Amino acid sequence: MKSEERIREFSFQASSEASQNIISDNELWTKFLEGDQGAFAQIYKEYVNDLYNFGFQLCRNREVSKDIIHDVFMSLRFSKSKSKIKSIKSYLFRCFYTEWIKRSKKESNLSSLSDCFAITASFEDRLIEKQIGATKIKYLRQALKSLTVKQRKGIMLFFYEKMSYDEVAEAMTLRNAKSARKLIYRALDRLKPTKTFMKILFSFHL
Amino acid sequence: MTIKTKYIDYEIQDFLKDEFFVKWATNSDPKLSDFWDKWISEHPQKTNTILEAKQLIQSLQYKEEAHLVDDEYIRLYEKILKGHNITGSTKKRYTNFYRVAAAVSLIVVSFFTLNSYYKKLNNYYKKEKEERANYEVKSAANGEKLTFRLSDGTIVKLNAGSQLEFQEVLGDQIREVRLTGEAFFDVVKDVHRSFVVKTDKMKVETLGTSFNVNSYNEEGNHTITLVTGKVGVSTLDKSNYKILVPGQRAHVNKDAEIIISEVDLTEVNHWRYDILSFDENDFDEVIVSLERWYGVKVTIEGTIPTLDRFSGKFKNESLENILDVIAFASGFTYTVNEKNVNIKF
Repeated sequence: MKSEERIREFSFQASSEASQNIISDNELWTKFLEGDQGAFAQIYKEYVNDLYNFGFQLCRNREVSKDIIHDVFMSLRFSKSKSKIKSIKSYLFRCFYTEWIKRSKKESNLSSLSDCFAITASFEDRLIEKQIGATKIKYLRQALKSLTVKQRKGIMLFFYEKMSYDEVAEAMTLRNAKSARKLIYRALDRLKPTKTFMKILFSFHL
Repeated sequence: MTIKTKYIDYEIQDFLKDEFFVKWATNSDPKLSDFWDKWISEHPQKTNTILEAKQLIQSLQYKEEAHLVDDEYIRLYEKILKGHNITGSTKKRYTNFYRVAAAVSLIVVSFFTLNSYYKKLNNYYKKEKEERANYEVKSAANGEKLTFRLSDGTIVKLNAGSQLEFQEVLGDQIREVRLTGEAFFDVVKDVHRSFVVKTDKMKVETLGTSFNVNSYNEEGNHTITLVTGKVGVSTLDKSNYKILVPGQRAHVNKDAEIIISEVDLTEVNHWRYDILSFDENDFDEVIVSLERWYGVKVTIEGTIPTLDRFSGKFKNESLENILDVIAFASGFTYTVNEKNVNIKF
């Protein structure tokens, strides 16, 4: 009955925590493909919030977003053709997008595309605003509005969702990374303040 | 052109287009900071350009963001696990899974509390109870176990020295019960109402199928062990949330973090089969268990051996037989007088 002191609990914790943190996107996907139940839960846990927000930007409707997420995860679970993917996140975004397109074709009353992916530029502190300059920021905010929906989406996937060009292409169903580059370059060119425009804006400010 | 010289003539626009730069500016790869910190220090004339590019990247936000609240997060997952279909077009593919998921519907939750802690909580619940109408409390005193049904048909078995608080008619959105101590739940499946067990430290919510939870409280640390199915575990302040898969144990520590570890499932659940078990418990824990199990009061004279650890299983043993074993191991004598036990070292 009497036994030596042992810290079993502790060793369990250490091993499971390590395995949770180190696991990469790739490993997680492989585990999932092998039919690991935990991997599926992990994927949900890690990406559902990003996906929900992305979906909301796309369809501007929380209920529809949840519905589509449901369908995306369902078909993820049951689809037999698990193709090669760039990353789990961009793959999920792509599935959401294609499902959304499918639905919009069926139901014409789903929201129009013009107000999707509305972006703004916000700077955490005043110092940064000063450094960059009020005029420039004003221009940036104006210019963001002038982007097309597709450009806004590309910009946000690249800068906000932290995707590579490869992943942006996957998420947006573009042909390849080159097409994604093209899209984002164009958008950035629009955001770049032209000298004449800056002069006009500046004189207004005075 | 090496990677270092490549950036010398870059303007803001060029940096914004550069994947390698953006990865660093969005903090998505901590390994890159070595390179960029060094590069900036070697090219001070570029510092402003780089910082501005970085700030521009970080300034981009959605005008309106959407987040899943806890409840939605769990319910959505539950729905996915159950294969509850909305569209209809894909229905056929999921029925099989649905059948499997619906076939299992057993839930066990068990919580241990130290006696003193339990009393404190009792007072707390009493106070809180007065503020809420239609709440019912069932409790099993030390030395007894109690089995009963909730309004939805769920069967609850309370272990000794435990208490369950619930609404006479469970809610139509969520079936919530509050537990002090340890209990076993056989939950009737209801796709539209999740079943939630709350303790003073955490919240356990079913995510569909079945689960078996076993928790042990030491200094307020609650532990939950999942045997089958899936559950969501969160801290009461909702700052942390984890989904458990079978074979995992979660415990909430003092910093309200949920720590997950793997466990041996055969060790879970002994009490339900009238087996009193100890697993590396110290003397105090053993005494508290005995008090609860047999409904006795134990007084101790002399010095308690703090380093002793006890493991063992007892099925339908008398209190005296167990005390004999422990007395032999720890070297004490004891007397039993009705419901009072006196231990002398």
